[in-house]
Amino acid sequence: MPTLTAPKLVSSRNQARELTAGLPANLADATVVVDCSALQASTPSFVDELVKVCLVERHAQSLVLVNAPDRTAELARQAASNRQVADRLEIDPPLATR
Amino acid sequence: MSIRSCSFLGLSSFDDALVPDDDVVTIDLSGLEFIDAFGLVGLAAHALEATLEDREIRLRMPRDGNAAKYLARMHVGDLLDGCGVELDRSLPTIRERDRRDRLIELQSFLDSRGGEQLANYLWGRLEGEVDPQLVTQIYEAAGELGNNVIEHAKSPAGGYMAAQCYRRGKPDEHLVVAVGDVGIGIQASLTRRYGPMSEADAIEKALKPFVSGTDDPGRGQGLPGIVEGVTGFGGVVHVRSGAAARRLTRTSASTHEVSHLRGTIVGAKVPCRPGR
Repeated sequence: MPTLTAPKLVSSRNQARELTAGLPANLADATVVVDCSALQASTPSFVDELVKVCLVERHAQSLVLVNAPDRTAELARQAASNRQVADRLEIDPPLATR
Repeated sequence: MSIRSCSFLGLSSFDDALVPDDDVVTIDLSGLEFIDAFGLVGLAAHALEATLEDREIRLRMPRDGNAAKYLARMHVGDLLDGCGVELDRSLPTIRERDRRDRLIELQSFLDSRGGEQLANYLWGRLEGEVDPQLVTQIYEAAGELGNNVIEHAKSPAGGYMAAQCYRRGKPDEHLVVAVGDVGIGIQASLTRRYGPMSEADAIEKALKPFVSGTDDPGRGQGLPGIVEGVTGFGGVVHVRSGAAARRLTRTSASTHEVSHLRGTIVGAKVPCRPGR
């Protein structure tokens, strides 16, 4: 299970590309975990690119954001919905339980 | 276009300062007393446009010594050197103190690192000082402004940015941040996908969610998010592209014709202590 660690601040699509650069090109049977414990802020573009790379381009089975700030989790939910992959995004812990 | 002499060059006045030129592009700062981050980025865009068109540029320095020192402090000299601007007298030499807690000097950026740098600066400046939600909104806005330049503007000279906090520690403390480019402008960026439209219509369209010059369905969140975030905290967003500009607050939005300038400039004025 590939695990990535998000840094404190992320704003560009390029940063999402850099974060995911080491992942295999085909993630069809894989769950990608992004540890967001250190993350404090992200832009819609960064989050959208992360969702796009993992779930759309590389077809990961699921993308799990762990300990993401509320705003980042909400942006990820929106991005996954826009790209019609919301069923493969998991927010841990879920926004509703916070 | 030339810039006529005026005492204030900034978010609310830059558009009015642009006037048709004769043979030579003149930047008349002789009456300048105050210039904000938007004015600096506008100055950069104007000088770059003239340089790209191989026009001669003459600049009249401010008579006000403090205004001249401020231009030097904000590194306008680097811009003028790069554009080959002819000055009526030199910028003053100043001893530069570290003011990273209050400003980010006028500077160019050529890749996404520039937007990251601007966003990170603003986060560092405001974290712990203002409402955490406001810090997040400003961070997102700055990051998206930088992203837009790199991804959509097709600017031959990259982008320019500047920011400064004003009235620090006072109830009306506020931040002005601006990012600009000399690229194709919003109209050209959107026309390929949506067909012909006026520059005013293009700005209004670009401020709606999921409108983008690309076919990627996740794009088009940057500018609408900036407007929602900044105006939600009582701030002002000013977008000018080509010969149109749109100004937005929490309660109003208006689009108007302005003198043509190549590319796009987006500026925001945000209260650091909203509600106080």
